Amino acid sequence: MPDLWASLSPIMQDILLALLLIAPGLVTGAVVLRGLRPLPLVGAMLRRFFWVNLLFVGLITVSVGIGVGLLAQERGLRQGTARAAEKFDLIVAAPGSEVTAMLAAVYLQTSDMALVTGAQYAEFAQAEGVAFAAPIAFGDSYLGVPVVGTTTDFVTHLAGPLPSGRPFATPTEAVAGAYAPVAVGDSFTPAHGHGPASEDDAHSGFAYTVTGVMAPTGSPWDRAILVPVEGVWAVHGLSTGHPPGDTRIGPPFVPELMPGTPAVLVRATELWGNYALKSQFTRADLMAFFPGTVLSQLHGLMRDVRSAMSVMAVLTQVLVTLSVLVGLVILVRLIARSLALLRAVGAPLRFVFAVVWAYSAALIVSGAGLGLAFGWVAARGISALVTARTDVLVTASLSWPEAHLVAGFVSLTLLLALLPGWLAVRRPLLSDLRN
Amino acid sequence: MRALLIALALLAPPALSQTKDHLAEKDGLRVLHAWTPAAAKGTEALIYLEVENTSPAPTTLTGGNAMGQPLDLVGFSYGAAGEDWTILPGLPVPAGADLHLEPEVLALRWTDLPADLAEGGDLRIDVHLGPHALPVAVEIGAADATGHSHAGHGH
Amino acid sequence: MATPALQVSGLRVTSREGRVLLDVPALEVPAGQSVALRGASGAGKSTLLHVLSGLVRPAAGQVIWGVQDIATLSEDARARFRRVTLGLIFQDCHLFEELSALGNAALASAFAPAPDRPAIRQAAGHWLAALGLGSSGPRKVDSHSGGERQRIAVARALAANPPVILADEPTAALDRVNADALGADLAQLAATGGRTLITVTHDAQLAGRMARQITMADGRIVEDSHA
Repeated sequence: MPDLWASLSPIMQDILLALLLIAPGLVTGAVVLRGLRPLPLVGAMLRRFFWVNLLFVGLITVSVGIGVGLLAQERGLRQGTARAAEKFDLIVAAPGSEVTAMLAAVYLQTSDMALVTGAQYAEFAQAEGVAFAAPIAFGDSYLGVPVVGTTTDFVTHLAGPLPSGRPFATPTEAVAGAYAPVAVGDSFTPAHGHGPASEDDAHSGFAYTVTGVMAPTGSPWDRAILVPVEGVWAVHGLSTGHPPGDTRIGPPFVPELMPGTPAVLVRATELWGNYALKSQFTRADLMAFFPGTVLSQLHGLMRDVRSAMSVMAVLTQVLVTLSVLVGLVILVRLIARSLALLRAVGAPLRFVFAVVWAYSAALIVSGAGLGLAFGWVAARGISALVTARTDVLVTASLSWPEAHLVAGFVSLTLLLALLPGWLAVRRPLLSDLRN
Repeated sequence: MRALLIALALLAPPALSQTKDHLAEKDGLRVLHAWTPAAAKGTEALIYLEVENTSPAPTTLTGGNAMGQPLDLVGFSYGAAGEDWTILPGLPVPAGADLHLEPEVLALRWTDLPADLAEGGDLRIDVHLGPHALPVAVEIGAADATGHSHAGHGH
Repeated sequence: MATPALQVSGLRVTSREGRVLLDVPALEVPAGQSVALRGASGAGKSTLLHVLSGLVRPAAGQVIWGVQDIATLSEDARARFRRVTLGLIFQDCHLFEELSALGNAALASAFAPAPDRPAIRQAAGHWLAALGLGSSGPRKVDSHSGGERQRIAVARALAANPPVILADEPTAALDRVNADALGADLAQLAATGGRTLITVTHDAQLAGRMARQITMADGRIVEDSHA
């Protein structure tokens, strides 16, 4: 059996799991309702106690919505951060924390880092199988967004052809991220540093002119401004990696004239080459790492948090299920007179049982369905907020885990709804009829 | 017969003529600290190890073999679609260089295990380095292990 | 089905505290007879009606409709007996407010065996029309007057074509005009359909339309007269 399960495709496993989870509820429904047609009566009862029923449906909606939203949001965040790192094949930096280097190079959460020297850069820029090695030199900002020194290779690799304008061609030109606060033709002077402590006039007298805008990438780079690394070096009064008077930009750099860079994105000509390069440049004086690996490890650490969130989501559902159950038992008292009438005019106990179960099922299924929608809307809203705050494109969508959660919840509550049905048929007929 | 072979392979003593515990060596090529997390029959195993090329010539790691089944050399990637392992044709190990197969980076992958890999056991595999097939004892760690029990030892 | 005769013997109903609520040594109602149960409040009229309909199981005695002693039946069997044999009319209608007049009149079609359902729905429409509510079938019952509501309840009682009608103060909530009209309808139903009609009533005019009048006091039959 485990072999058979393992042989199924993931999508088949998801579909089957969802069906297995919902099956007890459906089977219960089929058995309870077989040969009966209580729905017109159930509809009448739902309309009769509309506001009470609405309250119940609302309760279930919110609880399912929170569970669904939590799961979808967490996955959206995970996928968004992973998507943002996809273009960063191999990062080479001075030895230190891979996490710090990744946050700086991929997510532009800049921090002080030791520099890769010109000699080191030359070594791996010229290594066999390297397509390009792009410096990522951060530290400056403009209107709060990072101004990062790099090469045109990096611009093209990150965002493809520019939808507007052209790449930078001189040390004083710049390319803006899709949502950066500058447009083609704008000139600006970068501030030294980031945030409140940045020095706005440290680089006065120097200005970049924007020549192009990148397509959106779904990463924090969408709000950044990319400039030739030579410009960054020049604005800090350093040599530009080229002989004096040489105004061209991009590699090769003269090792002795290259001031250094906090990180370098290295891309191999072949996929396997990235692994060979990582092995080759993981050494005492250099740190080579895959941001994907670091991110996967971070997400792995968060797996426990994820599990805790899932448990919380399920626990919330269970608590709400119990509340709903208690509520249904109370609700049965509201409809007791109608149920007594049914019994008085000859309805079998099974029919009365089916009415109560179907009544409960209508509340549960409506609440769960609305909860799915509510969770989706909530996740979308929170995603938009996270995207606005972090520039990491987070798109939360409903997927199988949410379907499994809702299927399990619906099945469990439909089974538990047998209890109010059972209690309803045990109520005293005559006194209910008189009340 | 097949079951017997599997049992023998899983229980075989970890040392052959050219191997010490967790170390296989031939013509200056060394494979050490091979390990894999415990895994169930029918699932896949990812085997991690270290290759040292102390010979004067470069070599290439291309994969391996376990109980007659191929072990693919695979590279890890992680993106929006989740984790993925891609089969690599081979990785060069220059003269004097090391190559580390480690979790979420590189591994030898054995798909569709014919038997459970139980924690504490040893597994015999061949590692293909250039023209050589080095017999290596693979330590089977806990299912959630993250490294070899002797990782960091110099040997 | 043929109208069953009623035969009650040694009937006793007691309260939880052991107080005797009903003590009827013998009562026979021939098939097709119309009977008014009269008496002061608390005399035991409604209790007798509940026992006759199987809503209350007696402490002792037999309640034989035709050949079947319903006092010995299970709850589900008594429900089935009520569905097939009895039409019940209550003092305050007991209608489903959110259903239409026709939906209420055809209530039994919700739980009757599938083959019987079309006939029940057809009969419900027929009886609504016969009781002067032909055009109000699709309307919700809460838009009907008290007299109309009670007629809907009568149509519901008749929809499954039961041979016996048991009514508990059917005219109590109605004004004189409506009470008289309903009384006439009930008497005619009993007379022309060969049905047995037993009705609890304080309404002398309704009682006067019945062929037999039984007066009760303290849970006992104290007078039994034929018109």
